[in-house]
Parts: sequence; structure tokens; C-alpha cells
Amino acid sequence: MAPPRGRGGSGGGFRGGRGDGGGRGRGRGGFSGGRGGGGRGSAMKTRGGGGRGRGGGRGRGGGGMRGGSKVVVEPHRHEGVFIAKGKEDALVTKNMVPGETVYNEKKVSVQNEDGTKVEYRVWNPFRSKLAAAILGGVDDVWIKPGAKVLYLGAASGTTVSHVSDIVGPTGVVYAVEFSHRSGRDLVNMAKKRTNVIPIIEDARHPAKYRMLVGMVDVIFSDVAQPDQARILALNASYFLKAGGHFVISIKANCIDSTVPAEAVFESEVKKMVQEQLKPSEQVTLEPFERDHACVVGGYRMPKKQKIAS
Amino acid sequence: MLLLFETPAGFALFKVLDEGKLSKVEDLGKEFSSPDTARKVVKLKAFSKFENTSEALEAATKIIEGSTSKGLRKFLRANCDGEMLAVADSKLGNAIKDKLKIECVHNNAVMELMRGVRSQLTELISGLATQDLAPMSLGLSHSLSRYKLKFSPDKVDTMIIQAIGLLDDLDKELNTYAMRVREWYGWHFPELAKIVQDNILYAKSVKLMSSRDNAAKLDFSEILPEEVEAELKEAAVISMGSDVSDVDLMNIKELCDQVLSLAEYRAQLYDYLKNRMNTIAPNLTALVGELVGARLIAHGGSLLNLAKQPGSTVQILGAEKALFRALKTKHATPKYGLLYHASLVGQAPPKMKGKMSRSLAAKAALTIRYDALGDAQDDSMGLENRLKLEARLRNLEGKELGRSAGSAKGKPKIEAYDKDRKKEAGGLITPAKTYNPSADAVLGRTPNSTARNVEEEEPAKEAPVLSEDKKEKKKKKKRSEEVTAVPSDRNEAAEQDGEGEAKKEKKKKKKHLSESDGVQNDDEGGKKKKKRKHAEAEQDDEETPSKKKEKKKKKKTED
Amino acid sequence: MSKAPVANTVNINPNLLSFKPRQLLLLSNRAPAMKQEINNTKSHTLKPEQKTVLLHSIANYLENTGGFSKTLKKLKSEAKLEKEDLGGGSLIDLEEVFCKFLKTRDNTFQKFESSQVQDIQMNDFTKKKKKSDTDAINKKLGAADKVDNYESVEEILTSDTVSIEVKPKEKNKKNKNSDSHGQEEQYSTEALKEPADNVAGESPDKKHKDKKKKKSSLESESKVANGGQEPVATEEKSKDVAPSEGNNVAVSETENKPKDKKKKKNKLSDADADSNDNKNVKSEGRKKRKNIVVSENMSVETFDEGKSNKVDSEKDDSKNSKEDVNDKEDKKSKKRKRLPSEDDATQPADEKAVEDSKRRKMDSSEEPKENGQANGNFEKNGEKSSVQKSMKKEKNGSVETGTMSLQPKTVKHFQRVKVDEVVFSDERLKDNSYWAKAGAEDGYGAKAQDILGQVRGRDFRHEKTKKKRGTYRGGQIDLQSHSVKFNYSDED
Repeated sequence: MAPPRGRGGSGGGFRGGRGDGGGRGRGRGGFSGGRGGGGRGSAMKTRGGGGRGRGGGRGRGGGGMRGGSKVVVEPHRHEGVFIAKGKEDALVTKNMVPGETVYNEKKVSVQNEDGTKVEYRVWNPFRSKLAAAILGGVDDVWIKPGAKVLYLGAASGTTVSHVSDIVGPTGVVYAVEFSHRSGRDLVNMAKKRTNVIPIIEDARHPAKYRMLVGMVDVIFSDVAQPDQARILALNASYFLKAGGHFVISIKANCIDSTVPAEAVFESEVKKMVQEQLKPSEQVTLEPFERDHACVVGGYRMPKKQKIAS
Repeated sequence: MLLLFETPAGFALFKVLDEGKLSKVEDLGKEFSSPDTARKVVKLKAFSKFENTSEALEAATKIIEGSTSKGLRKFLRANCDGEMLAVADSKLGNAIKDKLKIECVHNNAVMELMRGVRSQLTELISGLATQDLAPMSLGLSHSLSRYKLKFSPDKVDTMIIQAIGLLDDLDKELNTYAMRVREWYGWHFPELAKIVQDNILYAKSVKLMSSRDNAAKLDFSEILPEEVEAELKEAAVISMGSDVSDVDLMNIKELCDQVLSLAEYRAQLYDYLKNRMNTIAPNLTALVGELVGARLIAHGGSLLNLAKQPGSTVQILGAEKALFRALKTKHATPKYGLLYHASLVGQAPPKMKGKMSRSLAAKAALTIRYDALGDAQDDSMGLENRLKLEARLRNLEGKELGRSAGSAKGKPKIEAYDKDRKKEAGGLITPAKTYNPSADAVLGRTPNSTARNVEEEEPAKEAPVLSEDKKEKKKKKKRSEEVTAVPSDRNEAAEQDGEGEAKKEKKKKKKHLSESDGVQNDDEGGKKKKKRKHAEAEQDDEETPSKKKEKKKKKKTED
Repeated sequence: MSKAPVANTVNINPNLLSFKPRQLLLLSNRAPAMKQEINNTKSHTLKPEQKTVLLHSIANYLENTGGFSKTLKKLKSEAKLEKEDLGGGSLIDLEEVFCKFLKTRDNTFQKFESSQVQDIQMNDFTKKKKKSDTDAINKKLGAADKVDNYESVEEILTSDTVSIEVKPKEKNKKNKNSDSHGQEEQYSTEALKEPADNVAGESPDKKHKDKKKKKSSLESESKVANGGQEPVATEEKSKDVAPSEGNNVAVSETENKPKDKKKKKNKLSDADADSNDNKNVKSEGRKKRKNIVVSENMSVETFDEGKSNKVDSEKDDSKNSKEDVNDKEDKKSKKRKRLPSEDDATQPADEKAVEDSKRRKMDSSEEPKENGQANGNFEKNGEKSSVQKSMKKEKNGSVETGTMSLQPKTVKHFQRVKVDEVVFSDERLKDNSYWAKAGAEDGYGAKAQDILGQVRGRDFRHEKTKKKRGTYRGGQIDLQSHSVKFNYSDED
């Protein structure tokens, strides 16, 4: 019988992928710390799966960072987003629910001068288009503490949780997801975070959830539909305040896979312009995604500000 | 013109003060830029609050469908008289028109109005503050989501996990208290402890009689069987326990009460757990039973988590300690974990337990996934799988019988060579007799490794036995022992190995053993015994200790 | 008539290699001995006129619809047939051919109007002749100077006749389809009609010749070479595909407008830039080719249908001839579809060039097989089918005028985004790749891009899944902004 490697561990039974992820991340470089005493450096290697699995559950330090290594957390240019600097950098957000992870991501704990502990969760750009856009270098992502965000295409809530971390308890995230499977995970995530309002509805019909949503400052759209420009425009007309902003992630293949991606982006931008959605910048999401781009813009911008935007 | 606006707190009806502004759609947005200007455009006419979340939920679902709820109808009937009603959804407008004969309108201007109202909602509705609106909105959204996802409280596996945890706790507590009762009462009536073995009966008896003096008079027939009762009465008379005061006895009695009530509650809890298991995971229950199924779910954390595990994991859930120890030391990993307690594995013969466990784990993984992610409510799949497994078990047993039965004509059945197959201790089959070089030796006949009891067995005998016993999985020790240059060592090792093998039914090491047979052992008996036991101990971890030992003993005796 | 084509085919083979208007062919035929066979004074006389028309159409064709590439291909494919014959022919003949063409063209136009069929047939002959002539001429020419001469001649020609060429072109086109070569001729004629440019016969002829020569090697090369010749031709610019186009253009000039469609059709067949090929083909297959048609074919060949035609012709001449016209897509569905789609998608000659090169390669590969058959087929089927085809092609071509698609039956797949209408407001938006982004080398994603940039599709998904584990560290995160800003303030 081949025992499952990298899984399970003391107590708690087997933890699916979590153990694996953590274990592998650490084991490679010679895991140090994070696991009670046993298995350091070469010793770990021989232990193989068993050793890896046991410590896997604990998420301390970033992936490449060994558990227990020192990192310094600095704020990013965008408010609410931080960078964990060590030997390697990682994008992190402040955990609104300390001690809990949403999708088994790594956590970074930092001790303040006054002794309080602050916990941050690592934001993986390969899993989240918003993180990919931030790392790609958008000028301004408009999601900041206290903002009200309408998130279209929330899926299981992995990125929504980070947005919720950014906007903090004063902000609100309305997460719209149509799929029931993902919706279940979204609702479970929303149970822990009170600033996330889960909406299991089709984003094409904002009238259906008009009762739940107020005016928002930012719309983030990651729906991957051919008519996503129209969806965005419709939702903006319902819920986005004048002078509000939108961030949309465009997947070229889902709109037209036969033409070059750049042409698709251009046509989408054109469509948006016709609907009073004024794009202000575009950045590619490579290498994190293939043939994706992120467009940021404003809605019903006041005339004089248009020049600035 | 009136404007119907839905909020999570209730329905709002706004009166449009200046309809002229509606003609300029683009500028409407500007009108609502500040609360004062907004108030000039619309005014709140009426507001109907939702009494509770369920009402809000009902209203919301109706709105989503595009139909009117009772509350909405009442509200509109009361407040909307003869005026045009602006609605955000044309379907809803049609429904209102049908039901209430109110003219509805829906166009761009209406949408702009809605936008404006939404942006200034808290200002326009005086009694509603942002902080009130937020939790209402949250609550409504959660209930709506639950409604949409057909969230069924029946299907929450948290109950199972908690229940099984409580069951284990209860068992522990019950045991502790019962021990305490015994000990305590034992001060007064020590013999009772040995007479009445069962905790519950003990508590009942104690409760009934309090002091042992009353034992003779009382009738224990409901509690105890007759002979035990008789014993009890006897012992009560000649008991050597000391007297205790009534107060103490009262306390003991109360403790007994506790024990009994706990026992009752445990029974209730077990029933409840069975119930829940059948509802949440009927197929799994049908396959492995309630208790094992509940333990599996609890071990996995949740049914969904458990569904993500492959069959091999399900097989050794619960034996992690043994698993990782074996992995680290590169030994054989355990064959079963929690699944060992499933009836299918229990009723399999010892040699088949491993196979049954594996097959059962595979089917169990399937049923878990089916229960977690599928929609069926019945347990047909579980029963089917169970039948399949039982058939397989019969099959396996049949094969075994066939093997031991030999061929039709009475000759020993020729078996296909399988180096890993453990030798059947069937006795009907005798392996080929190889020449045992040790038979040549005149001096220093090596005592047999076989039979802890019989040390003097001939090496010849030893050889066959050893060769028979080579099936055990290799142990480094043995092998290394065998390979050592020193004959005696080798012999010892071989013998030990042989014994170990015999015990453990591992791989055959005929060659080795036959080699070592030639070498003499002088006093290996003791060493062998030790090593045997050691080897046994090692092997036992992975397998049922008792069974193993039994097997080994069998082998030894056979030899 | 059959005999004539037969004779023509025999003679035209070498001529087909070069793209030449029929007129040219006729002219050139006179000079070389082989041309004598095609002595069809009528056709000769017709040719000049037809030529101009043809050149016009060819020029149009080349210009507008990328027929150049097709024709080039066609010609190339045909060129193989005519390789051996390319040696003959004197450059000087081209002038004569042109003169003749002019004369004949005038005559033929009248004739055409009277009886298309007859004209077609004649055109076939003439074209073939012309092709051979032009091919020979082209081959001989090889040099640009001739082109000049031809151009002048062709210009004259093209200016004169338009209508005539139209018809023959159409027919030619059809014919072309039937005959790999013949088609070319048709198309060339059509092409001549279409393109207004006169680059005309000379260049086509030259191209044809060149193409023929190069066919074996690389069609594209021939194209290029031809193109060199053509620069003079001017029109070719749009149709960079190759000299064939130029030739075609020249030819087309003569027969511009009405023949545009034809040219397109011709394009299908054109594949060979070599008018000569066209000629040959035509001579082989076509009975009715008119001079114009011939020239058209030559030009057309290179252009649009050249591709498909070539393909067709190469594959099954008989089939092509008939089916092509009817169901162009059927036969060379692959090529055709490629062509149409290519055509549709890529108006610019560049794409055509690419396509043409592909075609040519295909054609060249196929040609050897096809040619032999083609010739025979042409002879048998081409004549009949060519007529039909040309007719059908005419229709088809007219239908598809707007599209480069070779065959009338181009399938227009649904596209949400029209690539043609895309206008980038910023140069940086044209490239969505990682390295094109500012600050890419030191960016956080550089390491990932090294790995992920090398894979596509399934492997990309696999690599990305590996990265999702969360152990990726890309170095320092820079806080700068690397996005492309839009500037819509003026639009409002």
C-alpha cells in the first residue's frame, strides 16, 4: 500500500492539499523551523513525505521563506496592500480573521513594537488576477480601506477575501457569483468575514440583487464572459457612483479566440468607451495569465477631471 | 409619480416632486449629488418595514422572480392611489399592474432616478442610518444565499462530528465515574466489584441497596441474573468491608444516579448519531456502519474534506502514527486504520483483512463522494457496494479453501510459484524436501529454530520449516543476519529469521534458510526467542498483534 | 477547338510558367518556334487588346484582393510544367505580343461581346498562347528592362480593353479552376481586369517565367524575383506577393474593372505567378480561353484563386475544373479554406504572400504530380469544365468580390472582433507579452515568465498549477507603475 505522502500528520488527520503545499514549500530548501524539532536540513529529506506532511499544516512564513525566517512587512503603494520583504518578496494583505486561512495560503506574523501581533496572508498572483494586476504595475487599483466594492465573478472567494482584507471593516464587498458550488464556498467564507455580502445571482441581471446592494465606489469584474463589457456597464448603471471606478480583467480567449489578444482588448476598450466607462489604463497580466489584460477606468467622470484621469 | 424602491429594511415609496426634471435624463444624476437637492426631487411618501428576516426573505425572493408579495401588495394598495408607479423591473411592473391595477413605468429616466435615490438613500429615508442598513443587508443576503443554495440544515455534517466527539467523551466520563463508584463503594462492599462486572449493573445494584445490609432483603431480579444475585447476597453477609454512614451512602447513590443517567444519555446520543448518519451519508452508513462512518467523517474534518481523499488514504485513516513510523523506517505500512472496525473487515479471515480493507476503502471513498457531492438521498449505492464486497469476500475465502484443499485426485495441489505468498500452514501441503546439509554434521547439531518449545528439532526439519516460513517480508535484520560470515551467526540469524518468518508469514527465504540450516546453532534457542519476539514486536505494529502471534504460534506448532 | 488547346497545351507548358497575358503569349509565341503552333492570328490579334484588359484586371486583382499571391502560386505551379520551355522565347517578342495583343484585344472585345463562349475558347487558346508567349517572354526577360517595355505595351493594352477581358477572365477563371494551369490563365485574365494597374503583362510575363523557374525551388522566391521585376509594375505594391502579382497587375490593368471578380477567381487558380504556366494550362485545358482570359489567367493565377486554383489544379485538375467552380471549397478545402480564410482575414498582400508561398509550396509539391495529369486533364476536361468553371467562377467571383477569398464559397466564420477595424491608440498596446511591458526584466514575474513563456496550452496550465502552490518568489516587488495609460480626454 502506498501511503499518502505529505499528508496527514499529527492530529487533525489528513489535510488535503494544505500539508502538501506547506510541506513542499519548506522541504525543498531544507525545511527549518515550523516543525517541532525534527527533521532539519538533510535529515528532513530522508524523512520524505512523512516529515513533510506533519509540519504541513502550519503556515508560517512565506513559501520560499522558511518557516520562522524573519520578514519585514512594508506597505505597498496601494493602500491596504503590503509587501513582505525578506530574501524574497511577497504580496500580503492584513488578515481580518487572524489565525484562519481561506485557501490554505501562507501567513506572515509580525510583532509590533508594542507587542501586538499582526497577521498577514500571502496573496498569490497566480491565483488572483487582482494581485497579478498589482504586481504588473497598475497605477491605481482604487480598492482601498473603507471602499465599497462590487465584485462580479467572485468564484470561491479567494480574491474576495483579500479584497475584504483591504477594505477592512469599514468597507463592504458585495460578492456576486452565479455558480452554486463556488457559491457554497463563498458563503462559508462570508460567514467569517462580516464585510462580505455574498450574492448568488447572475451578474447579467443586476435588477435581481438590487435589494442587497447600495452604491459602490469600485466595481471589480472577473466574469470571463463574451459580453462582459455589457455586464459591467449594466452593473455600473445600477450601482456605480458617478466618478466611481472599475477594474476589469479581460480574457481574450473568451471573447474571441481567433484574433490576436491585443485586438480583443482594443475592441473591449472601445465598447467600454461607448458606455460611459472611460478606461484610464491597461496592463498585461503576463506572466501570471496568458492573453489577459487588466483595464482600469472611471465611470461618468466629471468633465474637468477627465483630463486628469 | 411614485417611485417604488426596495431596501433590505423594507419597501419605500417616493414621490417625485418635479416631474419636469425627468425629461433631462443626463442631468438627473447631478440632481442627486447632494442630499438637499435630492430632497427637492423626491420625497419619501411611505415606508413599510420588514418585520423579521423571514419576511424580508420572502419579499426578496418574490422580487427576484418578478412577482409581488403580500406585504408589497398591501403596501402599494394603501399608499399608491391613482398615480403612476415607477419600478426598476418591468416584469415586476407587469405583475403589479395585473394584481393591483396600478400603472407602472420603467425607462431610462426611472433608472436614473433609482440611481440617485440609491446614492442618497440614508438621507432620503430619515429613520434609516447606514449602520442599520448594513447588518440588515448582510442578514438578508445570507438568508437569500442559503435559500438559493438549498441549504438544508439536515445535511450539516458538523452535527455528526460533534456527536461522535461527544460520544467518545461520554464513554470516557462514564468509565471514569463507574470506576469511581466501584472504588468508593468498594470501601463498603469490596466483593461486589468482582461479582458484578458491568458498570451499569453495578451502579444499579448500589443504588438499590445502598448499604449491603439491605442486600438480603431486596430483590435484585430486575437487575441481576439469579446466580449473581445469590452470590451477591452471600457476599453481602460475609463482606469484609467497613461500614459507612448514610450520608456517604447517599452521595454514592447520587453518583450512581449520575452514572445511570449518563448511560441513558449515551444511548440516546447514539440513536441520534445513527439518525443523523443515515440522513447525511446514507450510503456510507450502509457500507461501513454508523460508528465507523461517523469516525471517518470526524477524522476528515468534514464530509467534503473526506470526499477529497483518495481510497488509499481512507484505508489508513486513523493509523497515522504507525503509517509515518513505517514510512520513516522504510517498513511496511499499516493495512487498515479506522476501517478495521468495519464489519466487513471484521468478518474476514485474518489473512484477508488486508485485502478486504483495501477493497472496502476503495468503495468507501466512492460512497463518500457520492454522499458529499451527489444528490441522492437513499442508500442504494451503499448497499450495492456492500453486496459487491461481500461477494468478493466470499470469493477470496473460496480461493483460500481451494488452495488448501489440494487437487482432485488427492495429490498435493501444484501451486504456481509465488515468492511472496505466505506459506499456508495448511498442513496438507508439504514443500519439497531439500537436502539439509546440517544433517551431515555429526557434532554440534544446531537446535531447530522452529518451535520455541522444541529446540532439538533436526536441522532437516528446520530447513523445511524455515523454507516454509520464508514468506515473511524481509527484515533487514534477518537478511543481514543471514548474510553474516560467521556460520553460527548465520545460523542463529537464520533460525531467528525462520522463526520470525514462521510467525509472520512473510516472504520465503528458503535459500537463506537452507544455507543456514547447515550451520549449527548451539544455543540459539534463547537468542532466537528473543529475536523472535523482537521480530514479532516489530511486525505486530502493522498487523493485528494478536492475530500475528496466533499465526506464528500456529506455525511453530505445526513445525 | 480541342485540337487547338491540345496543341496549345503542348506548347503552352513551358509558357505557362510565366505569367503573361494572352496577348503577350501570342506575341511571344510568334517569336519562338513553339509559338508557331499557337498560330492563331485571331488570337494574336486579340491578344493585345485582351492583354490590356487582362492587365488591367490583373493589376486590379493583384492590388485589391491579394490575387498576386494566388496568381504567383498558380504561375509557379504552372511554371514547373513550362520550365523546360522557358528557355525559349525572346524578350523581344513581348513587345510584339503586346502589339498583337492590343490589336487582338480590340478584336476580341467585339467578339466577346458577341459570343462569350467562343471568345472564351478563343481566349483560352490565345491565353495559352499568350501565356506561352508571355511566359517565354518573361523568362527571357528576366530583366527589368523588358518590363518597361511590357508595361508600356500593357498599359496601352489595358487601357483599351476592359470588358473583353472580363468575360474571358471569368471564363478563364473557371477554366483555371479546371486546369491548374488553365485556371491560372483565367484568373490572370481576370486579375488583369481587376487591378487597374497596368503593371500588366510584362511583369506578369516575366514573373511567369521567373516563377516557372523558381517553382521548383520556392514559389515564394519566384514571387520575390518577380516582384523585383515588378517594382516597375507599380501596382504590385499592394500585392507584394510576388512578381506574379505584378504581372497580373499589368495584365489586369488591361482588363481592370469588370474582371476584378474574375481576378479573384483567378487568384484561386493563380497560385502560379507564372503567366506562362497559365498559358500552358490554358492551352492545355481551355478551349475557350480568350486572349484576355489567358492573360487574365496569368495574372489571376498569381492572385486570388491562384491559391485555390493551384491547389485544385494540382490536386485534381478534372475535379478542380468542375468542382472548383462549383465547390471550390470541396476540393482544396484545405487550401481553399485556407485561402479564403486567409484572404478574408488578411487583405494585405503580406498575408497573401504568405499564403501564396504556402500554396506555392503546396503547389510546387503537388505540381509535379499534377502537372502531368493536369496537362492531360486540362486537355480533356479543362476545356469543357474550364468554360463552366469560368462561368461559375465568374459568378462566384462576382459574389465574393469584396473578399479576397479565392473561392466563392468562403465560409465566413463568426468573429466577434473584426481585426480590420482595430485601431490601437497606443503603440505599446499592440503587444501584450510580458517582455514588452515596461520594467519587465527586473519585474516580479520575470522568473515566472522564463518558465511560463515557453509553454502553451496544456503545459501552461500545468506549469501554472505548479506556481499556484505558493512557493513562487520572484524577487523584489517594484512599486512603479507599468501600465499603458489611455488618453481620452479629447474624446469625451
